[in-house]
Amino acid sequence: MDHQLILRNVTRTYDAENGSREALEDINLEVKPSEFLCIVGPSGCGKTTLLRMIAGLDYPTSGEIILDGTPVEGPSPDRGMVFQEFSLFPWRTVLKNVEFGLKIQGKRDIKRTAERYIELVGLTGFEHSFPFQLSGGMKQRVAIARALATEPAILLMDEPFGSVDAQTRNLLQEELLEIWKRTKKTILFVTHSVDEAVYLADRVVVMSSRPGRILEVLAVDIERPRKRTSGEVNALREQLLMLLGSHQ
Amino acid sequence: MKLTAVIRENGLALLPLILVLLLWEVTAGYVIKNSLFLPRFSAVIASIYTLRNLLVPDLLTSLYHFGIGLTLAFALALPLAIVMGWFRPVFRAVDPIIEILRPIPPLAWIPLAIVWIGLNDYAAGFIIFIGAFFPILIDSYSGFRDVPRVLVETGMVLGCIGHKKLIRHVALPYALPAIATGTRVGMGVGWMCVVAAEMFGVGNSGLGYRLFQKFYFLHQMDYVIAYMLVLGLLALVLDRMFRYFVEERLFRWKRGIVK
Repeated sequence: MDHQLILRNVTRTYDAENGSREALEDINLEVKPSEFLCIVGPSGCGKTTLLRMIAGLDYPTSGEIILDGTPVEGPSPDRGMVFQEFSLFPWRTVLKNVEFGLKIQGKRDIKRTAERYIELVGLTGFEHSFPFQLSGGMKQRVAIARALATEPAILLMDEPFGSVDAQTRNLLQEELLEIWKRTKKTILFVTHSVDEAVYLADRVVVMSSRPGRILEVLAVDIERPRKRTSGEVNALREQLLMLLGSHQ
Repeated sequence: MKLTAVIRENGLALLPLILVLLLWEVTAGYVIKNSLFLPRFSAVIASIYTLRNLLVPDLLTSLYHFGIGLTLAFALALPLAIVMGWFRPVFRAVDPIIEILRPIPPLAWIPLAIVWIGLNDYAAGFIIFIGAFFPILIDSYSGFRDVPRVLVETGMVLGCIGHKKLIRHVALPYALPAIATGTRVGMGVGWMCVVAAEMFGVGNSGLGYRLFQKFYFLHQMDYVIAYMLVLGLLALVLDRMFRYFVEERLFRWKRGIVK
């Protein structure tokens, strides 16, 4: 279970009209096994790009991303991903969506495994529903179950709760912590919400924009379950907002 | 169902239909009084009965031609649609050719069909193929082209490495409704080519052959209209069957989007 992700001097530049544009500059980061790490930053800071590079959907211009001693080259089911947009296959039921990765990999006993993860996200009874019959929150739960079903070394989440309402969002955050506790997965969670980061993370990576750089990595030493309005939570939020504000 | 209930539920659809038929009957019988110009509806219905022994073989021949054309159209259009929709360069390379060939009316291909294939069932099938091919191709490649990026990337992250797996597990299921729509449209256009395809004497049976080469030359307009009605009704049945067997069953997942 001791999976380790290391980012070493990761830089990403894009070709622009007037020369090249740096999206990410010299990112160095070590993610500890079973850590819940949040990445916050203003929009355009490259946090999504960073996550996509770890997923293998994008690539660094220089530097390297190493998972368990092996450099990342292209996407693979050992890095699960939950996207911001709804990403369920609309032609597949909940069960068939969760089975997808297992089926592609030719795993056995896929129904039982899928059902276990559906239960984990609290959707038992909805196995045969189609995505159009589910609410936004339920869709993202299925996406989480689907990403976990192939038992990835690390779970990447790109603002997964960005398009659900505030109450559902709080609920999903609590559920995610519960899932994290039960599966001991390393989770990399990108968000633009400071509140979300403080509520969820072991450590928060704060990024600046243009070029995207790591400003600071803050440890959140607050006992769970955290109270969203407690003094220490507020103090940390204040600190994060200051960091982000001074670098706009 | 009781008759009153049938009328209550379908009155709006049935009543104008009955009125039109009555109007036809009366106009033909008492105003025009010339069965060459417009035979009466009742005479047309009677001809369907008179022609019952010809009807079935003709119908089977036409369905055979239709089957050849449509099978060929589907078998060629689908693979081409996959590569055109999925690989941008292929689209850019092939699209100009398609766009030049597409507006040519299928009937303009008749001389070439005769020269290339000869006066046989396959020449008729070829004309129907030309009619059905382009609608199937264009709707289908749109389906493959429009697969949302997030679904493709989800497929990749879940282990679909390479185009083959992505096409099979992500793009094809996504494109199926578009393929079905294209096939339905292609069936319609293909059926419209049946009469013309049989007109130029590829054999001595078929709805189009009989209608044009026999009935029209004998000026039996009641027979002509009887066959016209059969052609229309058959297309309606084919379309409904397709909708029932393919669209309703396969696309339960689309219900939220369509209805």
